Amino acid sequence: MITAIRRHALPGRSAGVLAVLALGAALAFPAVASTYYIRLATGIFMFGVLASGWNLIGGYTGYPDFGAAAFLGIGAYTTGILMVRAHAPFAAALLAGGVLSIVTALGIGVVLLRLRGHYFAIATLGFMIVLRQLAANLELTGGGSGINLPGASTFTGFYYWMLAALALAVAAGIALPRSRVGYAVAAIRENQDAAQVLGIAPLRYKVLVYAASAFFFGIVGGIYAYWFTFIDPPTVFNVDFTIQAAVMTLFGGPGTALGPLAGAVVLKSLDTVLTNISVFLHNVFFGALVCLLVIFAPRGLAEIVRGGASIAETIREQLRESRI
Amino acid sequence: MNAAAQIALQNAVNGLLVGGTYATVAVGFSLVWGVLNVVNLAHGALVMLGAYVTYWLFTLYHVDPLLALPAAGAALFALGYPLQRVVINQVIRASFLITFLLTFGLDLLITNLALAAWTADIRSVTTPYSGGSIALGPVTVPIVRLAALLTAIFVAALLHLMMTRTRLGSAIRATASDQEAARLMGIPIAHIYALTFAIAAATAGIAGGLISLSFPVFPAMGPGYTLVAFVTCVLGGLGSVPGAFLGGLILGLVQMYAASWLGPNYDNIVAFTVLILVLLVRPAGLLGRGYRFRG
Amino acid sequence: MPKRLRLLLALLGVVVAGALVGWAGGPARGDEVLKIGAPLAATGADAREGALTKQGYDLWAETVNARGGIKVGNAAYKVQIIYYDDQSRPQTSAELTDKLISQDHVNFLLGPYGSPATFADAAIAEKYKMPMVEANGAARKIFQQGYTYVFGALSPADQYAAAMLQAAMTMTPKPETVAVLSADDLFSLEVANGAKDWADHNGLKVVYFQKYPVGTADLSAALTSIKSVHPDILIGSGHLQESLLVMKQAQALDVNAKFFGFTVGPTTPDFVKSLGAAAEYVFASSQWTPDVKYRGPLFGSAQDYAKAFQQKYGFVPDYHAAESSASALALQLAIEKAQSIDPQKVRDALASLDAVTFYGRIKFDATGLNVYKPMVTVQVQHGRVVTVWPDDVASAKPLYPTPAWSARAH
Repeated sequence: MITAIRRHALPGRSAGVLAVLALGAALAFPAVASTYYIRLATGIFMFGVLASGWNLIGGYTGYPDFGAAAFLGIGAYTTGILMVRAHAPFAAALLAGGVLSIVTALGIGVVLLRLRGHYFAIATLGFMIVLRQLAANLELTGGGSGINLPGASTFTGFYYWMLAALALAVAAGIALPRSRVGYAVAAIRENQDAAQVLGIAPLRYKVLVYAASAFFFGIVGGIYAYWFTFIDPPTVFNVDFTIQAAVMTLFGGPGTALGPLAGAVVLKSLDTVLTNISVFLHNVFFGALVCLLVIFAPRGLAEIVRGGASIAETIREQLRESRI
Repeated sequence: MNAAAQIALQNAVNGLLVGGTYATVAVGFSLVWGVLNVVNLAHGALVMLGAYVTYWLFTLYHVDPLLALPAAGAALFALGYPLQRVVINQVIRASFLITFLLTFGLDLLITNLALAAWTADIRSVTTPYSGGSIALGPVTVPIVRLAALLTAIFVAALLHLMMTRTRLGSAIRATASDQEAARLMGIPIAHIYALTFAIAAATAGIAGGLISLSFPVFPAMGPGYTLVAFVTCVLGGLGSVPGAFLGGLILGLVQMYAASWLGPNYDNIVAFTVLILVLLVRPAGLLGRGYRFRG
Repeated sequence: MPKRLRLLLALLGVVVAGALVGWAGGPARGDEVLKIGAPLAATGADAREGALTKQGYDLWAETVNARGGIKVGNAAYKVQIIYYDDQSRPQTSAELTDKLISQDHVNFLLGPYGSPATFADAAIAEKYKMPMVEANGAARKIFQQGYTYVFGALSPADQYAAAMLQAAMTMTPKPETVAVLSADDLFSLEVANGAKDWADHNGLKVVYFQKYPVGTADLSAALTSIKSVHPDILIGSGHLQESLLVMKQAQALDVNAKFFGFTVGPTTPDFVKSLGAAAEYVFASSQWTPDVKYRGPLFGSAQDYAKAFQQKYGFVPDYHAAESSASALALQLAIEKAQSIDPQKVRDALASLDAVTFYGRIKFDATGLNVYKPMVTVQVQHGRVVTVWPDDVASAKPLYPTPAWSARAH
């Protein structure tokens, strides 16, 4: 499946205007909406950040990281520990969490990114599980009892933090493919060995992108910790975050700037609708949805939308390629 | 024999016994991965279904689980064939992320349908001999686990014989090593794939039946066993039944000693650190033949 | 491009539909209905315990409505409990609590199942200044946060082990050593630490103290180590699944103790059903049993409550259902005392409540915890759960010491 590496033009003026309008609407939203909807929107933003961040290493680079929640946990615990024991202000603790995520990613990345395919996936998952058990055993992290962060006075702050993180993540998604690093990882994604022959040193670039992805998971973790006040190992070192980010990215279109965000908006909204209809069966619907999605739209909605033919034709073509 | 040695020996026995169960879980997973290049994240869910088959046969009709194992195997075989032929087959040549996510979606579906059908109540099978044990000198060997290990060896041996001595086995191995050549030879690929998956599902069902004897049974039990299968395959090597077996035993021992020396709360840390080390040092696993990966 | 536009409109449609469904959820507000929110585990690890909790809440709602509702002044409020499945996840529980308050406009909250979920929900209740009465989250940590709107009708976690150990120490031959094996969740760890503290202060030697991951499938290594230290007492701190595992594997590995005690599990019907004969002689601490000699408003005596429960659900209630009914009853009594449904007035009424009910004395200390109700110790005898300690509520003598596995008939 070798496709030409698209040359990305800078977003046009109309796109820019739309972006400003969207941002403006988002900034004004809390003034008109009830707390429930603000909370819902924050949740959507959160998955938007996670999906966009995951897309950097999973979509653009083609290295699906199944342990990304490891960094969410690192960010959450760093923020928690600094706020509780060092009485650090939230902003500083959050930043520290992001930085520690980057540092950890750089360190473990040089080891893990030597692996490929399924092995990379399971090794990253293993890394997350190790961190989960470590957090459950250390005094510093409160062990299995977890950490209780100080309560925040209002909720709206979290909305804006998440929005800021989202803006940053989407910007990263736009910037990456247009940068040198972006070209390198695109080449790596298509054919790593060929890229290497052409003089691209894969490990360095993969690790950089991995660290960027880790940063976003880390800051989401920090915001999450302060928002939910209570964190413990199974809550933050949870593969569900990663899976949802991956599925949302896939749904919206991996390797695109807005695809992951679109995926996050649609799937999180769908999840909420299903929960309202039938609490008990909503997981069944979600599972069926993932299956259908993966079979009929494996390159995400973006690809279907972009293709010239009708939706049915595009799907049929994809199936022809992927089945025996 | 002093106390420390006795504990060490008992841990070895426990580790091997648990490892046998892990091996049965892993053997089918390894088959699917090695032949179809599909990492079946729903494997644990199939194990769970097998466990429920023996549970219901035991509870409703008083069939001993060991005798019900063939039924579990047959039921899962019947489920596995169409599952592969109709569903998974659609994306079998797509990237591994796709099949990963598809099997993840299937796992979610199966688990939640089971939840809707049988509720989250935790079940267990308690046969008259359930708590029995044999004292072999300084160690106590639980009967049920011993039976599970013996069955595991038997099933693995059967599978290995099938793979190496029968025509079906040759066809499967041919398809695994070179799909195009096999197709040119007239081997019906889609059918072979489905058959392989069905056989793997059958072993998963049997593993589930064995598990129901000594472990709790509930709809969400799957993912833990999928992970076990994955680690076992990495340790022991892909596409090799003896490899999966060896990997299972090693994993059982490693976890048991980690739990004993460091505490039960360290078992995963050790297991996964070992996993990552093995992946880096000898990615093919102990008995594997090198991995295939998509370009 | 028309196709792109079509797709976009379809997506927009989905989102709008979701918003509408969300808005439309829940019945209209009526003056005679008191809406009470309860996020509960219907699926996930705590599903079983969550179901028992719901039964307790439902029995209360049914009983009080049959009586005409809660009388405030000239009005009588029928109660309606709105449930959502929090899937045994604390963060989902918190979100649902928020939804119940801000979208469904409930008047009051009842607690979820489990300490982590209760902890998460308490923060939300506090933020909105909505009284929440819970009885399924026993961790003291919940009540060390300075919350004033959260009340726990159950005895705190550290009392679980104390009750069992105290009971054990009254038996002959007097035990001298104790092994503690605990799951590493918030509640179980508090229990385990409580056990250790009590043991240290009362001349009981702790010969083993380890924790294991929640929901572990194998404890052979831990039990092998425990076997080698020959403890008199084995305290298992965890939930139903883990208690079953310990007993099953203790039997298979021939691990003996004079006293097997668990925090959660033996009182639920599943324990005896799953273990059969192996469940015999097992002790547990309990927040309540039908044998206790309390009586109070609405339900009458403990025995009356048990009978009513059995009539509705077909089995003898364990303490999960009882404590849930009790927490709802506490809320009702506070509303009646305050003669108002204003949250602030009800909160104050709860803080000053002091009532004896079928469940025991309900009175909250300054932090919101009910430290005025003692726990009891029970034992499985002949397939039934009987109260064995303290003496004044015991319905049977404890069977002690537990015979060795090899000596037991199967």
